Amino acid sequence: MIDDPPEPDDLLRALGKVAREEREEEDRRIANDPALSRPLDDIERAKIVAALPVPKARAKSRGFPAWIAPAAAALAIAAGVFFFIGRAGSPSLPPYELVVSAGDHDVRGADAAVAEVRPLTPDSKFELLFRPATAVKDVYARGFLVQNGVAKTWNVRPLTSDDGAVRFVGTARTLFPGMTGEVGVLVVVGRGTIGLSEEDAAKIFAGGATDLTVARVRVQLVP
Amino acid sequence: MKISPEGVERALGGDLSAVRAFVAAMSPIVQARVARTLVRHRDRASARDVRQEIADFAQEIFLALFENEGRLLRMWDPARGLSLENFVGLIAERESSAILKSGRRSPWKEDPLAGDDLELAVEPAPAVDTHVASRDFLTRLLEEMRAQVSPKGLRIFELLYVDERSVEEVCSELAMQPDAVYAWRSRLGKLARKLAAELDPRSSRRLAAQKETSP
Repeated sequence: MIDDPPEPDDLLRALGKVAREEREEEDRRIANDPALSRPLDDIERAKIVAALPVPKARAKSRGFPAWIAPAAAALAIAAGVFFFIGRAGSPSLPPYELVVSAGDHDVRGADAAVAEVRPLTPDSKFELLFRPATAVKDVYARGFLVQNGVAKTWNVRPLTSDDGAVRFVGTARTLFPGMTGEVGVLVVVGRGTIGLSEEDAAKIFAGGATDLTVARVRVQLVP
Repeated sequence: MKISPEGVERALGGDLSAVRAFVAAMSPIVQARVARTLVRHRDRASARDVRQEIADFAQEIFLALFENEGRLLRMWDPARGLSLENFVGLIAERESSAILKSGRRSPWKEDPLAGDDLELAVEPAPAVDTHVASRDFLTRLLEEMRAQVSPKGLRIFELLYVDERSVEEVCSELAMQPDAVYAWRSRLGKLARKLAAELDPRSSRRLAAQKETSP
Protein backbone atom coordinates (compact mmCIF):
# COMPACT_ATOMS: atom_id res chain seq x y z
CA MET A 1 0.00 0.00 0.00
CA ILE A 2 1.30 3.46 -0.87
CA ASP A 3 0.93 5.91 2.01
CA ASP A 4 0.95 9.00 -0.14
CA PRO A 5 -0.50 8.16 -3.54
CA PRO A 6 0.16 10.58 -6.41
CA GLU A 7 -2.58 13.01 -7.45
CA PRO A 8 -4.56 12.16 -10.59
CA ASP A 9 -3.25 13.76 -13.73
CA ASP A 10 -5.22 16.74 -15.09
CA LEU A 11 -4.60 15.67 -18.66
CA LEU A 12 -6.05 12.24 -17.96
CA ARG A 13 -9.07 13.88 -16.36
CA ALA A 14 -9.55 16.03 -19.47
CA LEU A 15 -9.23 12.96 -21.68
CA GLY A 16 -11.69 11.08 -19.50
CA LYS A 17 -14.20 13.90 -19.86
CA VAL A 18 -13.85 13.84 -23.65
CA ALA A 19 -14.22 10.05 -23.67
CA ARG A 20 -17.30 10.28 -21.45
CA GLU A 21 -18.97 12.84 -23.71
CA GLU A 22 -17.99 10.81 -26.77
CA ARG A 23 -19.54 7.69 -25.26
CA GLU A 24 -22.79 9.47 -24.43
CA GLU A 25 -23.08 10.75 -27.99
CA GLU A 26 -22.27 7.30 -29.41
CA ASP A 27 -24.83 5.64 -27.15
CA ARG A 28 -27.47 8.09 -28.31
CA ARG A 29 -26.73 7.47 -31.99
CA ILE A 30 -26.61 3.69 -31.60
CA ALA A 31 -29.88 3.62 -29.66
CA ASN A 32 -31.56 5.57 -32.45
CA ASP A 33 -30.29 3.38 -35.28
CA PRO A 34 -31.54 -0.24 -35.36
CA ALA A 35 -28.89 -1.15 -37.93
CA LEU A 36 -26.22 -0.30 -35.36
CA SER A 37 -27.90 -1.73 -32.29
CA ARG A 38 -29.20 -5.03 -33.65
CA PRO A 39 -27.10 -8.02 -32.52
CA LEU A 40 -25.50 -10.29 -35.09
CA ASP A 41 -28.01 -12.88 -36.23
CA ASP A 42 -27.58 -16.63 -36.70
CA ILE A 43 -26.47 -16.33 -40.32
CA GLU A 44 -23.86 -13.70 -39.54
CA ARG A 45 -22.51 -15.77 -36.65
CA ALA A 46 -22.50 -18.96 -38.75
CA LYS A 47 -20.43 -17.18 -41.40
CA ILE A 48 -17.93 -16.07 -38.77
CA VAL A 49 -17.62 -19.60 -37.42
CA ALA A 50 -17.15 -20.95 -40.95
CA ALA A 51 -14.35 -18.45 -41.62
CA LEU A 52 -12.31 -19.04 -38.47
CA PRO A 53 -8.97 -20.79 -38.91
CA VAL A 54 -9.55 -23.55 -36.38
CA PRO A 55 -7.71 -26.84 -36.88
CA LYS A 56 -10.28 -28.91 -38.75
CA ALA A 57 -8.46 -32.19 -38.29
CA ARG A 58 -9.14 -32.00 -34.57
CA ALA A 59 -12.74 -30.98 -34.95
CA LYS A 60 -15.14 -33.15 -33.00
CA SER A 61 -17.79 -32.70 -35.62
CA ARG A 62 -18.68 -35.92 -37.35
CA GLY A 63 -21.87 -36.03 -39.31
CA PHE A 64 -24.13 -33.06 -38.84
CA PRO A 65 -23.84 -31.10 -35.66
CA ALA A 66 -26.93 -30.60 -33.59
CA TRP A 67 -26.79 -26.82 -33.89
CA ILE A 68 -27.43 -26.72 -37.57
CA ALA A 69 -30.87 -28.26 -37.34
CA PRO A 70 -32.65 -25.72 -35.10
CA ALA A 71 -30.63 -22.68 -36.09
CA ALA A 72 -30.65 -23.17 -39.82
CA ALA A 73 -34.21 -24.40 -39.83
CA ALA A 74 -35.34 -21.23 -38.10
CA LEU A 75 -33.44 -19.15 -40.62
CA ALA A 76 -34.83 -21.18 -43.42
CA ILE A 77 -38.38 -20.60 -42.31
CA ALA A 78 -37.74 -16.90 -41.94
CA ALA A 79 -36.24 -16.69 -45.39
CA GLY A 80 -38.79 -18.79 -47.17
CA VAL A 81 -36.35 -21.61 -47.70
CA PHE A 82 -36.73 -25.21 -46.62
CA PHE A 83 -33.87 -27.61 -46.70
CA PHE A 84 -32.99 -31.16 -45.94
CA ILE A 85 -29.52 -32.49 -45.36
CA GLY A 86 -28.57 -35.46 -47.39
CA ARG A 87 -26.52 -37.72 -45.17
CA ALA A 88 -23.23 -38.60 -46.77
CA GLY A 89 -23.19 -42.13 -47.98
CA SER A 90 -20.08 -41.75 -50.06
CA PRO A 91 -17.31 -43.58 -48.19
CA SER A 92 -14.65 -41.42 -49.82
CA LEU A 93 -15.99 -38.15 -48.46
CA PRO A 94 -16.29 -36.79 -44.93
CA PRO A 95 -19.70 -35.70 -43.67
CA TYR A 96 -20.92 -32.41 -45.09
CA GLU A 97 -22.91 -29.70 -43.43
CA LEU A 98 -25.19 -27.19 -45.05
CA VAL A 99 -25.59 -23.48 -44.34
CA VAL A 100 -28.21 -21.56 -46.27
CA SER A 101 -28.64 -17.84 -46.08
CA ALA A 102 -31.37 -16.25 -48.06
CA GLY A 103 -33.48 -13.18 -48.21
CA ASP A 104 -32.58 -9.60 -47.53
CA HIS A 105 -30.58 -8.09 -44.71
CA ASP A 106 -33.49 -8.34 -42.33
CA VAL A 107 -33.47 -12.11 -42.27
CA ARG A 108 -33.94 -13.08 -38.63
CA GLY A 109 -32.55 -15.96 -36.72
CA ALA A 110 -33.91 -18.21 -34.03
CA ASP A 111 -33.56 -15.55 -31.34
CA ALA A 112 -36.18 -13.40 -33.00
CA ALA A 113 -38.67 -16.29 -33.09
CA VAL A 114 -39.79 -15.30 -36.59
CA ALA A 115 -41.99 -18.00 -38.05
CA GLU A 116 -43.60 -16.52 -41.12
CA VAL A 117 -42.67 -17.79 -44.55
CA ARG A 118 -41.33 -14.95 -46.59
CA PRO A 119 -40.76 -15.83 -50.27
CA LEU A 120 -37.67 -14.72 -52.13
CA THR A 121 -37.99 -11.84 -54.54
CA PRO A 122 -35.79 -11.64 -57.66
CA ASP A 123 -33.40 -9.28 -55.85
CA SER A 124 -33.08 -11.45 -52.75
CA LYS A 125 -29.62 -12.80 -52.15
CA PHE A 126 -29.28 -16.55 -51.90
CA GLU A 127 -26.22 -18.40 -50.65
CA LEU A 128 -25.82 -22.12 -50.26
CA LEU A 129 -22.67 -23.34 -48.54
CA PHE A 130 -22.07 -27.08 -48.42
CA ARG A 131 -18.86 -27.83 -46.57
CA PRO A 132 -17.04 -30.88 -45.27
CA ALA A 133 -16.37 -31.48 -41.59
CA THR A 134 -12.74 -32.14 -42.49
CA ALA A 135 -10.81 -30.88 -45.49
CA VAL A 136 -11.05 -32.99 -48.62
CA LYS A 137 -9.36 -32.53 -51.99
CA ASP A 138 -10.55 -32.93 -55.57
CA VAL A 139 -14.23 -32.48 -54.93
CA TYR A 140 -16.64 -31.89 -57.79
CA ALA A 141 -20.17 -30.61 -57.45
CA ARG A 142 -23.29 -30.52 -59.58
CA GLY A 143 -26.59 -28.83 -59.00
CA PHE A 144 -30.10 -29.64 -60.19
CA LEU A 145 -33.29 -27.58 -60.02
CA VAL A 146 -36.46 -29.53 -59.48
CA GLN A 147 -39.93 -28.27 -60.24
CA ASN A 148 -43.10 -30.33 -60.32
CA GLY A 149 -41.06 -33.48 -59.97
CA VAL A 150 -38.88 -32.73 -62.97
CA ALA A 151 -35.16 -32.10 -62.50
CA LYS A 152 -32.97 -30.02 -64.78
CA THR A 153 -29.25 -29.43 -64.55
CA TRP A 154 -28.59 -26.16 -62.70
CA ASN A 155 -26.59 -24.01 -65.06
CA VAL A 156 -24.75 -22.23 -62.29
CA ARG A 157 -21.13 -22.99 -61.67
CA PRO A 158 -20.43 -23.42 -57.96
CA LEU A 159 -17.39 -22.00 -56.23
CA THR A 160 -15.30 -24.83 -54.83
CA SER A 161 -12.66 -24.20 -52.20
CA ASP A 162 -9.40 -26.08 -51.76
CA ASP A 163 -10.76 -27.84 -48.69
CA GLY A 164 -13.81 -29.18 -50.50
CA ALA A 165 -16.49 -26.63 -49.63
CA VAL A 166 -19.00 -25.82 -52.35
CA ARG A 167 -20.78 -22.50 -52.58
CA PHE A 168 -23.59 -21.24 -54.77
CA VAL A 169 -24.23 -17.53 -54.37
CA GLY A 170 -26.14 -14.83 -56.21
CA THR A 171 -29.49 -13.16 -56.40
CA ALA A 172 -32.63 -15.20 -56.94
CA ARG A 173 -32.89 -13.59 -60.38
CA THR A 174 -29.51 -14.91 -61.54
CA LEU A 175 -29.67 -18.28 -59.82
CA PHE A 176 -33.28 -19.14 -60.72
CA PRO A 177 -33.89 -17.19 -63.95
CA GLY A 178 -37.51 -16.95 -64.98
CA MET A 179 -38.69 -19.33 -62.26
CA THR A 180 -41.48 -18.74 -59.79
CA GLY A 181 -43.22 -20.85 -57.19
CA GLU A 182 -41.64 -23.71 -55.33
CA VAL A 183 -38.26 -24.79 -56.68
CA GLY A 184 -36.13 -27.61 -55.34
CA VAL A 185 -32.35 -27.46 -55.34
CA LEU A 186 -30.33 -30.63 -55.26
CA VAL A 187 -26.57 -30.34 -54.81
CA VAL A 188 -24.42 -33.41 -55.27
CA VAL A 189 -20.75 -33.57 -54.35
CA GLY A 190 -18.32 -36.32 -55.09
CA ARG A 191 -14.86 -37.16 -56.32
CA GLY A 192 -14.38 -37.39 -60.04
CA THR A 193 -17.20 -37.23 -62.53
CA ILE A 194 -20.71 -37.26 -61.12
CA GLY A 195 -22.69 -39.26 -63.63
CA LEU A 196 -26.16 -38.52 -62.32
CA SER A 197 -29.07 -38.28 -64.75
CA GLU A 198 -31.81 -35.69 -64.35
CA GLU A 199 -34.31 -38.47 -63.76
CA ASP A 200 -32.24 -39.91 -60.92
CA ALA A 201 -31.74 -36.41 -59.51
CA ALA A 202 -35.51 -35.96 -59.33
CA LYS A 203 -35.86 -39.28 -57.49
CA ILE A 204 -33.12 -38.39 -55.01
CA PHE A 205 -34.67 -35.00 -54.37
CA ALA A 206 -37.97 -36.71 -53.68
CA GLY A 207 -36.27 -38.77 -51.00
CA GLY A 208 -34.97 -41.69 -52.95
CA ALA A 209 -32.05 -43.63 -51.55
CA THR A 210 -28.58 -42.68 -52.68
CA ASP A 211 -25.01 -43.29 -51.68
CA LEU A 212 -24.02 -39.84 -52.90
CA THR A 213 -23.41 -36.83 -50.68
CA VAL A 214 -26.32 -34.51 -51.37
CA ALA A 215 -28.05 -31.40 -50.07
CA ARG A 216 -31.71 -30.70 -50.74
CA VAL A 217 -33.16 -27.20 -50.49
CA ARG A 218 -36.64 -25.96 -51.31
CA VAL A 219 -37.12 -22.32 -52.22
CA GLN A 220 -40.25 -20.23 -52.64
CA LEU A 221 -39.84 -17.68 -55.45
CA VAL A 222 -42.14 -14.79 -56.22
CA PRO A 223 -42.03 -12.54 -59.32
CA MET B 1 -23.28 -17.78 -21.46
CA LYS B 2 -19.96 -17.70 -19.60
CA ILE B 3 -16.90 -18.94 -21.45
CA SER B 4 -14.24 -20.50 -19.24
CA PRO B 5 -10.51 -20.60 -20.04
CA GLU B 6 -11.04 -24.29 -20.82
CA GLY B 7 -13.80 -23.32 -23.26
CA VAL B 8 -11.43 -20.91 -24.98
CA GLU B 9 -8.82 -23.64 -25.22
CA ARG B 10 -11.31 -26.09 -26.71
CA ALA B 11 -12.39 -23.51 -29.28
CA LEU B 12 -8.80 -22.84 -30.28
CA GLY B 13 -8.23 -26.58 -30.49
CA GLY B 14 -10.90 -26.97 -33.13
CA ASP B 15 -13.92 -28.11 -31.13
CA LEU B 16 -16.66 -26.70 -33.33
CA SER B 17 -19.27 -26.61 -30.59
CA ALA B 18 -16.84 -24.61 -28.44
CA VAL B 19 -16.12 -22.27 -31.37
CA ARG B 20 -19.83 -21.66 -31.85
CA ALA B 21 -20.32 -21.09 -28.13
CA PHE B 22 -17.44 -18.61 -28.09
CA VAL B 23 -18.76 -16.68 -31.10
CA ALA B 24 -22.30 -16.67 -29.68
CA ALA B 25 -21.09 -15.40 -26.31
CA MET B 26 -18.68 -12.78 -27.63
CA SER B 27 -20.58 -11.49 -30.66
CA PRO B 28 -22.76 -9.06 -28.64
CA ILE B 29 -19.73 -7.28 -27.19
CA VAL B 30 -17.92 -7.33 -30.55
CA GLN B 31 -21.00 -5.99 -32.36
CA ALA B 32 -21.46 -3.24 -29.76
CA ARG B 33 -17.82 -2.15 -29.89
CA VAL B 34 -17.76 -2.17 -33.70
CA ALA B 35 -20.93 -0.10 -33.80
CA ARG B 36 -19.40 2.38 -31.35
CA THR B 37 -16.23 2.64 -33.46
CA LEU B 38 -18.20 3.15 -36.67
CA VAL B 39 -20.15 5.97 -35.03
CA ARG B 40 -16.99 7.51 -33.60
CA HIS B 41 -15.19 7.43 -36.94
CA ARG B 42 -18.19 7.95 -39.18
CA ASP B 43 -16.13 10.34 -41.33
CA ARG B 44 -13.87 7.40 -42.19
CA ALA B 45 -16.56 4.74 -42.49
CA SER B 46 -17.42 3.63 -45.99
CA ALA B 47 -20.74 4.31 -47.66
CA ARG B 48 -21.54 0.59 -47.58
CA ASP B 49 -24.54 -0.84 -45.80
CA VAL B 50 -23.85 -0.46 -42.08
CA ARG B 51 -25.07 -3.97 -41.24
CA GLN B 52 -22.66 -5.44 -43.78
CA GLU B 53 -19.92 -3.24 -42.35
CA ILE B 54 -20.58 -4.47 -38.81
CA ALA B 55 -20.67 -8.12 -39.93
CA ASP B 56 -17.41 -7.75 -41.87
CA PHE B 57 -15.63 -5.98 -39.02
CA ALA B 58 -16.86 -8.58 -36.55
CA GLN B 59 -15.48 -11.32 -38.77
CA GLU B 60 -12.11 -9.56 -38.96
CA ILE B 61 -11.98 -9.27 -35.17
CA PHE B 62 -12.78 -12.93 -34.60
CA LEU B 63 -10.18 -13.82 -37.24
CA ALA B 64 -7.60 -11.70 -35.41
CA LEU B 65 -8.38 -13.55 -32.19
CA PHE B 66 -8.09 -17.01 -33.76
CA GLU B 67 -5.32 -16.68 -36.34
CA ASN B 68 -1.76 -17.84 -35.69
CA GLU B 69 -3.19 -20.63 -33.56
CA GLY B 70 -5.01 -18.13 -31.42
CA ARG B 71 -1.93 -16.20 -30.34
CA LEU B 72 -3.93 -13.10 -29.45
CA LEU B 73 -6.76 -14.91 -27.67
CA ARG B 74 -4.32 -17.05 -25.70
CA MET B 75 -2.98 -13.85 -24.15
CA TRP B 76 -6.16 -13.55 -22.12
CA ASP B 77 -5.59 -14.71 -18.59
CA PRO B 78 -8.40 -14.22 -16.05
CA ALA B 79 -5.81 -14.14 -13.27
CA ARG B 80 -4.56 -10.84 -14.69
CA GLY B 81 -7.76 -9.02 -13.96
CA LEU B 82 -9.66 -8.54 -17.22
CA SER B 83 -12.78 -10.55 -17.89
CA LEU B 84 -12.95 -12.30 -21.26
CA GLU B 85 -15.73 -9.92 -22.30
CA ASN B 86 -13.65 -6.86 -21.47
CA PHE B 87 -10.57 -8.32 -23.13
CA VAL B 88 -12.42 -9.17 -26.35
CA GLY B 89 -14.30 -5.86 -26.28
CA LEU B 90 -11.14 -3.82 -26.03
CA ILE B 91 -9.48 -5.86 -28.77
CA ALA B 92 -12.60 -5.30 -30.92
CA GLU B 93 -12.47 -1.55 -30.40
CA ARG B 94 -8.79 -1.33 -31.19
CA GLU B 95 -8.97 -3.59 -34.24
CA SER B 96 -11.95 -1.83 -35.76
CA SER B 97 -10.30 1.55 -35.21
CA ALA B 98 -7.13 0.27 -36.89
CA ILE B 99 -9.08 -1.05 -39.88
CA LEU B 100 -10.89 2.26 -40.29
CA LYS B 101 -7.64 4.22 -40.03
CA SER B 102 -5.39 2.13 -42.23
CA GLY B 103 -7.57 -0.44 -43.95
CA ARG B 104 -5.88 -3.28 -42.10
CA ARG B 105 -5.75 -4.78 -38.68
CA SER B 106 -3.32 -3.51 -36.08
CA PRO B 107 -0.17 -5.51 -35.56
CA TRP B 108 0.00 -7.01 -32.07
CA LYS B 109 3.70 -7.23 -31.55
CA GLU B 110 3.55 -7.78 -27.85
CA ASP B 111 1.32 -9.01 -25.13
CA PRO B 112 -1.68 -6.66 -25.03
CA LEU B 113 -2.02 -7.32 -21.33
CA ALA B 114 1.56 -6.38 -20.60
CA GLY B 115 2.15 -3.47 -18.32
CA ASP B 116 1.99 -4.67 -14.74
CA ASP B 117 5.64 -5.45 -14.68
CA LEU B 118 6.88 -3.08 -17.35
CA GLU B 119 7.69 0.55 -17.16
CA LEU B 120 6.99 2.63 -20.19
CA ALA B 121 10.05 4.46 -21.43
CA VAL B 122 8.36 7.83 -21.41
CA GLU B 123 10.20 9.73 -18.72
CA PRO B 124 10.58 12.61 -18.30
CA ALA B 125 7.10 13.49 -19.56
CA PRO B 126 6.58 17.10 -20.63
CA ALA B 127 3.91 19.20 -18.99
CA VAL B 128 0.81 19.92 -21.04
CA ASP B 129 -1.54 22.82 -20.50
CA THR B 130 -4.94 21.21 -20.49
CA HIS B 131 -6.66 24.58 -20.29
CA VAL B 132 -5.50 25.56 -23.77
CA ALA B 133 -5.81 22.08 -25.27
CA SER B 134 -8.67 22.14 -27.73
CA ARG B 135 -11.41 19.55 -27.87
CA ASP B 136 -10.12 18.45 -31.25
CA PHE B 137 -6.63 17.99 -29.87
CA LEU B 138 -7.90 15.98 -26.92
CA THR B 139 -9.96 13.81 -29.26
CA ARG B 140 -6.89 13.04 -31.34
CA LEU B 141 -4.86 12.38 -28.22
CA LEU B 142 -7.54 10.02 -26.93
CA GLU B 143 -7.41 8.13 -30.21
CA GLU B 144 -3.64 7.76 -29.89
CA MET B 145 -4.01 6.53 -26.34
CA ARG B 146 -6.52 3.92 -27.46
CA ALA B 147 -4.13 2.76 -30.17
CA GLN B 148 -1.11 2.48 -27.91
CA VAL B 149 -2.31 1.38 -24.50
CA SER B 150 -2.89 -2.29 -23.77
CA PRO B 151 -6.45 -3.52 -23.15
CA LYS B 152 -5.78 -3.69 -19.45
CA GLY B 153 -4.39 -0.15 -19.37
CA LEU B 154 -7.39 1.11 -21.32
CA ARG B 155 -9.76 -0.61 -18.92
CA ILE B 156 -8.04 1.07 -15.98
CA PHE B 157 -8.23 4.43 -17.80
CA GLU B 158 -11.94 3.90 -18.47
CA LEU B 159 -12.70 2.99 -14.90
CA LEU B 160 -10.66 5.77 -13.32
CA TYR B 161 -11.25 8.68 -15.68
CA VAL B 162 -14.30 7.91 -17.82
CA ASP B 163 -16.45 6.22 -15.19
CA GLU B 164 -14.73 8.21 -12.41
CA ARG B 165 -14.48 5.18 -10.15
CA SER B 166 -12.30 5.18 -7.07
CA VAL B 167 -9.03 3.32 -6.83
CA GLU B 168 -10.69 0.96 -4.36
CA GLU B 169 -13.44 0.15 -6.86
CA VAL B 170 -10.88 -0.47 -9.61
CA CYS B 171 -8.97 -2.77 -7.29
CA SER B 172 -12.14 -4.68 -6.58
CA GLU B 173 -13.19 -5.03 -10.22
CA LEU B 174 -9.80 -5.95 -11.63
CA ALA B 175 -8.47 -7.88 -8.63
CA MET B 176 -5.49 -5.54 -8.35
CA GLN B 177 -3.54 -4.09 -5.47
CA PRO B 178 -3.77 -0.29 -4.93
CA ASP B 179 -0.05 0.07 -5.60
CA ALA B 180 -0.50 -1.46 -9.04
CA VAL B 181 -3.39 0.90 -9.84
CA TYR B 182 -1.37 3.94 -8.74
CA ALA B 183 1.51 2.71 -10.88
CA TRP B 184 -0.81 2.40 -13.85
CA ARG B 185 -2.21 5.88 -13.20
CA SER B 186 1.28 7.33 -13.24
CA ARG B 187 2.21 5.36 -16.34
CA LEU B 188 -0.92 6.46 -18.20
CA GLY B 189 -0.28 10.11 -17.27
CA LYS B 190 3.27 9.97 -18.55
CA LEU B 191 2.22 8.33 -21.76
CA ALA B 192 -0.58 10.87 -22.30
CA ARG B 193 1.86 13.77 -21.90
CA LYS B 194 4.41 12.14 -24.17
CA LEU B 195 1.83 11.54 -26.89
CA ALA B 196 0.49 15.07 -26.48
CA ALA B 197 3.97 16.46 -27.02
CA GLU B 198 4.40 14.32 -30.11
CA LEU B 199 1.04 15.37 -31.55
CA ASP B 200 1.70 19.03 -30.94
CA PRO B 201 5.09 20.06 -29.54
CA ARG B 202 3.74 23.55 -28.84
CA SER B 203 1.28 22.13 -26.32
CA SER B 204 4.08 21.33 -23.91
CA ARG B 205 5.69 24.75 -24.35
CA ARG B 206 2.53 26.80 -23.88
CA LEU B 207 2.36 26.18 -20.19
CA ALA B 208 5.93 27.30 -19.63
CA ALA B 209 5.37 30.39 -21.79
CA GLN B 210 2.18 31.28 -19.94
CA LYS B 211 3.89 30.89 -16.61
CA GLU B 212 6.72 33.18 -17.72
CA THR B 213 4.31 35.92 -18.83
CA SER B 214 2.01 35.65 -15.84
CA PRO B 215 2.31 38.47 -13.26
